[in-house]
Amino acid sequence: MANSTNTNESYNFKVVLLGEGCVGKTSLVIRYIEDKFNPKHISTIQASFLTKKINLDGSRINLSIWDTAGQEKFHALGPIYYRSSNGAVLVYDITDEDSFQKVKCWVKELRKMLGTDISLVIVGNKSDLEKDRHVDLDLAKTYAEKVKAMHFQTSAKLNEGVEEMFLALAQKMLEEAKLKAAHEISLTRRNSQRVVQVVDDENVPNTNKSCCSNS
Amino acid sequence: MWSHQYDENLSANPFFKEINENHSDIIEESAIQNWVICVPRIGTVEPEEISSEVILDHILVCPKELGEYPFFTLTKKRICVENKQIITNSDNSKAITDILFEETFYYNKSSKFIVWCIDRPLFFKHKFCDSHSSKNLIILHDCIDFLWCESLSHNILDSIKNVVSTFKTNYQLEIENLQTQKEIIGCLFSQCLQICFKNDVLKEKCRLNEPFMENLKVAVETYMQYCLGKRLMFSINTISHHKDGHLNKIIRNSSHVQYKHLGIDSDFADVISSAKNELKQINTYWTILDKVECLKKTLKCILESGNVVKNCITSDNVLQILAFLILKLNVNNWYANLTYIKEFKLSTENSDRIEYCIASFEAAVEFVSSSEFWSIKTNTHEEVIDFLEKKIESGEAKTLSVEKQSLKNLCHPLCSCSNCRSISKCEIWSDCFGDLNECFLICAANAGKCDVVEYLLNRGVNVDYSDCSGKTALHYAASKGLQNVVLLLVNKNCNVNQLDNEKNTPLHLASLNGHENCIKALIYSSPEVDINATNSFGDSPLILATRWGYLDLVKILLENGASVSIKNKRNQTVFDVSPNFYITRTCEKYSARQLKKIDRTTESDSTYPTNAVAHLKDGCNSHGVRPKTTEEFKKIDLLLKSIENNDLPLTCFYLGYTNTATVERGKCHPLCLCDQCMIADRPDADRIANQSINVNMCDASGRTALHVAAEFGRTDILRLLLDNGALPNAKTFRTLRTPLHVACMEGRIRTVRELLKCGDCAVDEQDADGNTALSYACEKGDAKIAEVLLCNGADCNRKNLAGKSALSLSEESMQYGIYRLLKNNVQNMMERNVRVSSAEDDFF
Ligand SMILES: Nc1nc2c(ncn2[C@@H]2O[C@H](COP(=O)(O)OP(=O)(O)OP(=O)(O)O)[C@@H](O)[C@H]2O)c(=O)[nH]1
Ligand SMILES: [Mg+2]
Ligand SMILES: [Zn+2]
Ligand SMILES: [Zn+2]
Repeated sequence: MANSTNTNESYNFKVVLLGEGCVGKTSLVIRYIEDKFNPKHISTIQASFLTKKINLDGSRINLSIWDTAGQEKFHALGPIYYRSSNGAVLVYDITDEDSFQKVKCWVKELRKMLGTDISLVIVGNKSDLEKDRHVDLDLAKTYAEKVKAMHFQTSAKLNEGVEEMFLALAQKMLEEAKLKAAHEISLTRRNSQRVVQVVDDENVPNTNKSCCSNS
Repeated sequence: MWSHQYDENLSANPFFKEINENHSDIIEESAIQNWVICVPRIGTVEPEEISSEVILDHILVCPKELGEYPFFTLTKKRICVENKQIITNSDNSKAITDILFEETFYYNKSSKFIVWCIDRPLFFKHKFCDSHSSKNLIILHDCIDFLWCESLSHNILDSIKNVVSTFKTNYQLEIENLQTQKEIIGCLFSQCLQICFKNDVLKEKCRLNEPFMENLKVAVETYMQYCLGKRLMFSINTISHHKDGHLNKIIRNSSHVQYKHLGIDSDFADVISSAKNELKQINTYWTILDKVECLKKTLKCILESGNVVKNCITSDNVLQILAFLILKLNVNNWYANLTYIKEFKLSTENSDRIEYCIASFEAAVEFVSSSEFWSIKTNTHEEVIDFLEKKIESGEAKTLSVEKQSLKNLCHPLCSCSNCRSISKCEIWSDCFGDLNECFLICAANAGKCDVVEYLLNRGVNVDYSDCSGKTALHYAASKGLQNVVLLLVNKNCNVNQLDNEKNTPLHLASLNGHENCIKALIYSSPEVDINATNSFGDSPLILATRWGYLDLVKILLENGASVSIKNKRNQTVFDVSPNFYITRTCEKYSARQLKKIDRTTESDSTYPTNAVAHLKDGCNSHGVRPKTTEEFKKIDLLLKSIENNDLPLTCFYLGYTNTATVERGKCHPLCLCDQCMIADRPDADRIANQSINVNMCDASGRTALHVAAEFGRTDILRLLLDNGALPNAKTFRTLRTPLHVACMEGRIRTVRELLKCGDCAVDEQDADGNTALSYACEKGDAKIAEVLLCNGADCNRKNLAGKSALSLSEESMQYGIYRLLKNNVQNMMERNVRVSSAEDDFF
């Protein structure tokens, strides 16, 4: 039964897809969004920004999935895409050792820039090409564990592991968000809102503030 | 799908609640059978209408395979699903219902089912309630409507407008930094909101309705931004003027970049032109809401082009196309626009969708300014030049087969008009040598190949040859920033004021593309340059440099007599096109000066002491020696640098005052780039020592070695220079300052003493503003220097162009020590000298 605990909480999570060119980032996200139940109603004409709504035991989650540009010349633009994301999917191709090294670079960069605020999942894609495997599965798993990331194997082609992977990531981000919320409540409520406070009395700001410093 | 997103919390939807609570069997079965549950959006179904039959109408059984198979409802009705729409056909009436969103429900770890929220119930015959669709504020117009309708009067709008216009007269926003500007605008925003809360109708609505409050904030914010108009953008331009100037220079110099350079498929041509039409309007909007809408529409054009190009649009496509658009549009403040959108949003948070949109533009702008972009820019005519160079090197040039038939059909070898492009595609360049040397001159100038240019010029090629666009070699070199080529051409006495078909002089093109080095080369190496020439749009070089935000260029042009009062054909002066405060202020400074000069020339000489203007007459003879070649330009820079660094040995070395045994060693050939020759090219190399530099040579602004030594107080070097014949009274070009002026301005007392020691140092020389060395000492309040100057006979009554003497300056800046000193001096002088009589009244 739908265990609708009626918490009614809504979360917006931003997820970036990172990885070397041609590892299957775009294929993964299209596979995920173009659900097998309804092949026709979404005509995927773009794969750079996609959204998906899921409901995990009463918590509503809006996933915004940002596919990043794969070409090397755009590499330096990474920070513009991944800043303030809640999760990152770091994709490598199991037949390509270099792509796994690239994942390691991304992990380093993300941990350096965003710390532990971001939930990571490392994904070995193209699992259908097992015969050409060049990245040792255990090695990859051990590495993922070491950097506190989840690890999944997927095949965008055969639709294996794709939904599970995104679901696990969503669950992880939800846990983090709930933890963080609890933490923030336990602290005194700091007012970090950008919204301008509306005061009811006539609190006219000091209009002379800048007049003395002009040239 | 891209533009507007409907959302609701389904667990609060009565229809879904009913299924959830009373039909759990349906949910279980849906999870197993992969059925889809359709839920009409909240408010479209009355609670009493929800029956089992109706619910079963809304459960869809999906086909097992993709393709043409239809969907059925659990009531066995046949339906079609296409393009996010459900098409029903009952009783011969076709109905189309939008699918608003899909939500996947996961429960009990491994089970899931799918819900489609739809715009209205399926198979309903009657009309349904439509009141819950919430109003969205998308553009400025919506906001004005909203404020007008909800308050039922024009008062709110008028009041906001008044508050903003008071603000505009009271604040000088543009001189503040980003954080302060944000705070000031935040205050203004809350002031505007206060106005709304004084209105009882609005206040009550806000209290009752949270979304209404949000809308009100957006509306007020947007209307406020609209009222601030250009002023706010001007201030933000000022914050980001540096980055924007840099980006503009890159954009202006990338006019040749085409689709293929960025990796864009030519299928996108139509998409790009419609996206361009959206984006080019960005600066016609003043509000964040409208600017964001403009970006969204642009992005939408691109993202939805998948249909057109029959392919999935990826982030790579998006970035490439946005970068291309940025290059092709005449927008001069991308960074400012992004700063505005990102930093000045005060009301609601942006949706992820908008964040993505902004990030895409940000990434594209970042990419264009990056070195990655720099490296993909290609020079399309490189091969021609390489070929030429090789021929010249091997001495074959004269004997080349003259098979120029094909080339003759071209306007010139570089022409890119459509006709020429089609011809040149199938041509082999090696056959195109002949009497078309002029064309090659243009080619070589455009490619910055000094050796080829020199070679051609030495063979008597017509330096003023212009191509079908009316451009000469100098036009091309100036527009590309190739200073060496410019100097070569100018030294061959080319016409520096040649007009192209749009009446641009080379100076125009250098200004447009932000090439400071070429502007300097043009202005300083040729006195004939017409600095105030206007092109066919009526734009002067100053107006062009201003429009693109090149502050450094603006300064140089102004220093060299560019007029601030020229109006272009759209009746704009520099002040109208100036994007930021720094440029406006610089222009204002000069406009005051220009007015003063006009005053001075119109008034009779008797108003000012005659000696105040005397320097204008004889001043021109007393400048340093202008460098003539690129080499000399380079060397004087090096020399001045070494003086600045107080490097006495190196200074001696450049000036050739040393006997350090150096091995003479020539280069392989003058343009060789081999390692050894590169070493020979280095500043400390023998070659420079061989051709030592004139001690009175000056740099682009007229500063001689002595000026620099005085400025930085390098007294030892100064003495050396004076001993070697440096002119103690050499003046800079525009400011007309002597080394003594400079030393006083910098407060270098030892240097002042040293300078005054040499007999012919003119202590009362006046600069362009009429100030003497003493004036500056007084202004700075440097009593010691003032005393030294007075001891050396400085005249404290000499007036500057503002009519102020050193005496009044010191009084004004409240330097009473000096004032007393001067007064004493005057008194002493009067006692000693009875002659002083008539002028006296002026002083007291
Ligand atoms: N065999 C197999 N091929 C795959 C799989 N996923 C993707 N591919 C193929 O890999 C190639 C690259 O896929 P993309 O999705 O474009 O990869 P990408 O990471 O988005 O590439 P960039 O956008 O260039 O960074 C395509 O030819 C896909 O068909 C998979 O699971 N198995
Ligand atoms: Mg991709
Ligand atoms: Zn042509
Ligand atoms: Zn060499």
